[in-house]
Amino acid sequence: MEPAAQPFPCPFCGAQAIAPRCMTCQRDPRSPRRICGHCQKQTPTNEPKCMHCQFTPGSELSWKVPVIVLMFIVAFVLAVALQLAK
Amino acid sequence: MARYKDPIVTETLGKQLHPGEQLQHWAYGVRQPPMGLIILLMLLAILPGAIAVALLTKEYVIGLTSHRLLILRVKGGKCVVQEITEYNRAQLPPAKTDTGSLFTHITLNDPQKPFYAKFHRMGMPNNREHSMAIAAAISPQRLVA
Repeated sequence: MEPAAQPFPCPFCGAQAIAPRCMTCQRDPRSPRRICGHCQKQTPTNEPKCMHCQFTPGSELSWKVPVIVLMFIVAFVLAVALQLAK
Repeated sequence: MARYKDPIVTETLGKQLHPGEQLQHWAYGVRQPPMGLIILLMLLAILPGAIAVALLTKEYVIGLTSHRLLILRVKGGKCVVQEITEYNRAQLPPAKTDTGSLFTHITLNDPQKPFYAKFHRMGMPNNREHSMAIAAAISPQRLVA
């Protein structure tokens, strides 16, 4: 039997679905998905808001880039301070 | 050295399996930022550069099941799942795999959901065997012979 034709629980709504479209939530049950940081449920990656709780996640880089820049600034300031102290 | 032990990975992947689906192989891999950026960050300052590379590195656990190739982006010591991507084994996109002395590289050229990661032989117990088995199962050469 063709595996794609077998029904399986839709990761988004939990109803029995057959790829390529869940008849309950009208989403592709095989599409890329993320875990919502607020409600911990699966939601499609291509939808900006969580389909369950409407939470909008921020980009991971929004805190990583400032932290990285800050680390280099601290390293630079430390290097200059150490040179001046000699 | 191993990032995760087998039970935590099989448990994490097991939560994504459909009824009747069997997990065959699993592996831990990473996707680092581009080599040019790594070199630039390291030239600026070694320690902040190394921390920056670690922050920008994505971790993956992949599993080959009887029906699908599952790709989970994970983080933390408890293998917390962040993102899930899956490919039907019957409709796999063009794959490019390469095995060196340390790493097994797996690339999936899917226009909608492309994937690349490298799998270190010490990433987790039997990571080399599992990643090579996954690479062999998804690479186009499987049709030959």
